[in-house]
Amino acid sequence: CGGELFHLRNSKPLNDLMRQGIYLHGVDPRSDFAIALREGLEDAGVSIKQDEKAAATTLSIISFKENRSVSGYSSTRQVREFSHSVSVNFRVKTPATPEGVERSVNAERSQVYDGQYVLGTAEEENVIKEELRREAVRLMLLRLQAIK
Amino acid sequence: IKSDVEAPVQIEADAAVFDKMAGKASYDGNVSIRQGTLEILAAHIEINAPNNEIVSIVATGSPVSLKQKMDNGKLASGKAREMQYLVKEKRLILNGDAELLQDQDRFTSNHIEYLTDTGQLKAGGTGSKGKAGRVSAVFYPTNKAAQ
Amino acid sequence: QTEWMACPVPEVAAAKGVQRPANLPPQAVYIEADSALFRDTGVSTMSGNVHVSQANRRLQADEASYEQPAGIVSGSGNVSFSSDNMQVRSSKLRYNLTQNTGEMREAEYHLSQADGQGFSKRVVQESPNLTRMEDSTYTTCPVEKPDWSLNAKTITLNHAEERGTARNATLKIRDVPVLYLPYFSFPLTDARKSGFLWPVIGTNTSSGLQLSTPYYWNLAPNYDLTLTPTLLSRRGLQLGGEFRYLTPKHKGTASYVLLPKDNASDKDNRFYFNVNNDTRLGELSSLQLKAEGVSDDQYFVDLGNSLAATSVVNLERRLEYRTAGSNWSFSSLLQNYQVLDGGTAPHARLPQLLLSYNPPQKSNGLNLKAETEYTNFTGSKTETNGKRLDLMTRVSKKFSTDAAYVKPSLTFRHTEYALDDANNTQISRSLPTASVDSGLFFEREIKEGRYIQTLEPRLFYTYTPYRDQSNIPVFDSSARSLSYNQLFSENRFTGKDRIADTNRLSASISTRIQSPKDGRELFRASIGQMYHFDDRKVTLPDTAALEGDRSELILEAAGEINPRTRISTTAYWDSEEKTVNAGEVRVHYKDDKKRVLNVGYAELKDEFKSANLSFAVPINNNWKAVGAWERDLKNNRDLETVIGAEYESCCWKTRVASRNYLLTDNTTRDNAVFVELELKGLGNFGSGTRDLLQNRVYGYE
Repeated sequence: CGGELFHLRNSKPLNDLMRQGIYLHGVDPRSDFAIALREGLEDAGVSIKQDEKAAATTLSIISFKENRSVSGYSSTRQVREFSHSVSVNFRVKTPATPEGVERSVNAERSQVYDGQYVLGTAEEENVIKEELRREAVRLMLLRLQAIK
Repeated sequence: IKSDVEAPVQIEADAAVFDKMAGKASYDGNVSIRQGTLEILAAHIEINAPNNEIVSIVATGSPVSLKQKMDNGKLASGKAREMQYLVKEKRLILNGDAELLQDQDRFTSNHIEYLTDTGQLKAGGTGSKGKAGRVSAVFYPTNKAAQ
Repeated sequence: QTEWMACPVPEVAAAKGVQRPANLPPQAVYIEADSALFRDTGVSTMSGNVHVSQANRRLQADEASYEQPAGIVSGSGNVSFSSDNMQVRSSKLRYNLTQNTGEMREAEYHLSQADGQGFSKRVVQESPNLTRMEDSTYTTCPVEKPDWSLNAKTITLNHAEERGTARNATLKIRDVPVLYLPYFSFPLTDARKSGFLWPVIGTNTSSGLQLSTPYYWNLAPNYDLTLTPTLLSRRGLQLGGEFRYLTPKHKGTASYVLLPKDNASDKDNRFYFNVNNDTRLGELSSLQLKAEGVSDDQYFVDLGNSLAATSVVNLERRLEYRTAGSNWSFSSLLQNYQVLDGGTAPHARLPQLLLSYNPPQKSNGLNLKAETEYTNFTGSKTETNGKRLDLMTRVSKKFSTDAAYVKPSLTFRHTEYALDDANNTQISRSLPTASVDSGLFFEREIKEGRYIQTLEPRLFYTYTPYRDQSNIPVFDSSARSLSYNQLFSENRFTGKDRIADTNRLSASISTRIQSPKDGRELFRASIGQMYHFDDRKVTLPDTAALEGDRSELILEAAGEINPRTRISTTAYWDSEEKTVNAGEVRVHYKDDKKRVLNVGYAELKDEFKSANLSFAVPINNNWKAVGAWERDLKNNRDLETVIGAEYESCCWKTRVASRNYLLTDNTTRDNAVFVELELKGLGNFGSGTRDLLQNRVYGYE
């Protein structure tokens, strides 16, 4: 693909409206996803506000679904692979779009299941789920950057 | 109310014309008839009283208005473009945007016939002008039931 | 709660032309007619398009009479009468406006609350809130030719309790009598009401005919109970119960299913339980209980009715207390597993205490992280039990600009074991790990600025010295699945019992195509490989050390071809043997017409090669087809095929799903067919089959 040459990336801050304050809504602040979302937002320079009026932007999580299904069976019909997926539907309300804009992001990853090491596989499942949550947050930040 | 019939009748008007022979009297210009608690105001009233006995009274105005106290002490009033009172039949006929109020109950129609003795009120149907107007009535059950 | 398409409102409910003057007080009786004869006491008669109204009750009739002072109105000649909860058209009516009682003959009625209508020989309003209808029909379908109707000797409607009860009623489907019910009660509104949910009828080879009739108990606004007796023709009666509760501090469900006498097997009292509870303790702490269990490991095989249900590998039981401060967190966990797929029963964690210190990550500053974990692994009959104390500190610093970053990190881990074996062996192991992660971000605009393409090279080096860990028992470690993220992780094992000796450089390059307009990542592709400078000697028991100086080539790509279609692929290409060790492709399509299509292919060398497909397609605004298909390409056999259809009209809904799948004994196949019927307004909300289809077709609501 010809066209322009690559150059070092220039900074892509969230618009300042969002940096001033985002109010998180519709998610249990203690849940793993909420922690990953807060860290992702703070890492991008956003300050999380506790009450809706103090924040210019409201990010409300409409649905957060974590799903695990079997995606591979061995010849002896034993479970050999799980497929983990995360999908997040959210709405962003800013002064420019008071009724809000709805977006959704998805991420999925498969995991080999080994019946011999149940605890080990469970540990890996936690790691994969955390990676999927962080990937979903990364994709959400991309969408937030595009909202003026 | 019943005692009105015995009370003296006072009629005032701007002008009046008497025709003894035909037994007719007609009054013009803000005419008022008072008899006891009854009071009728009209623009023009004709009394038809052959051999000196009133048979009918016809009043017209825009509108003719009527007020009278009823036996139960409540006030009745009415208005219409034309009112006829037939003495023998004790029937009061109102025509043209007629409205009759008995205390709070209100009856409107193009044509209302009210029998003063039985209190029966007939409304609607093809009025004298032939135009089938709608009848409407409003009853306030609370005061009736309270009696 | 199922939402329904709206039925056309019957014309009986449509308001006629006459308008009651707005300024009249409600208790005034307003009468309008072509002609009338009024008597101030006694009966006034009106005729010609008569309208009588008081408060919210209206009567229209050809002829009507109004009796003073009792306030009794009667009407004849296409009478239509409407009040708050019902509209009636009938030939004759008598109604007492003051006492709000009355009677109507040969009536066609419409109940506004329940959106139900029908005909009735005689409708008697016994009291302001109680209507009794004799020899009447009731349906929520358009009344001319209803798909179903309830014909009952008497139907009483209690508008206060919002409940209708029918006595000796026959349910007719398109006037074919289907079911006789001596007594049947149904809700008049869709508010949560106790009552029978819709039965699910089905068959499958292992349990035979199944009929379950759930009963829903709306005990209180914030807790309810659903009892589900299920008759299994080959096994016997199964009783199930699910209790749900939600209070400001506690939230959860508890369900228990018991099959006291299983005629198809020698096992009795076969049960399944599932408890789920979240408790908030103050602002920062919480207690979470999640426990599942079954009476025997064949439970799901015999009583499950799908490929997914019979693929339950283990059931977790965990009780975890969590609390956290601004930069520390503490959790104590009790956990064990019930293993169902014949795998080795794992240790129980009684308890595991984890204290971690992780101050907020400053993007360019020094980041410190420390964790202390004490776990008592007990309960294993085949493996050694023991206690483990693990201390880990990690310090890292990220030097980053917008376009580049370098992140060195140093980790020290010290682990002590006290084993419950013959001579109470003590093992201690301490290991440092050093890593450097670095990356650059290039970008350019393509297609005249409509898209941005990035190029992200990344180099990751990690070193952990070799420590002989063959004498350490495996409590919570296993080999990690090969994945793109594996390139940048320091340990190729999970858990803490195996810290891999690593001297590895990973190199990868990724490219992303993003649309700045709406921030969508349309496409992402990465290629990476690991280069090993030493053999990997730390292994799980009885596996050989790994040689080879480079890993497979790891390729990964994902993206949204358009807002409706998502595709993701991974592949692990072994450059020496020129073979794909593992790979998968997944395509998800979903559009605003609720059409869903998922296609997947997955392969793991010498393990499995499988393809799957699932779809949900509305055919017209009544019919919807649903299907799923799982194919084992390696052994050329279908693991599961599901075909379902759903018919939905404005007043009834039916779902049929047939499922054929391979049982765990790898030879016999189970054929399950499930039918569900739901007549709008005669039961509460849908059950069973919806979940059967929903989790099978990803994205189908």
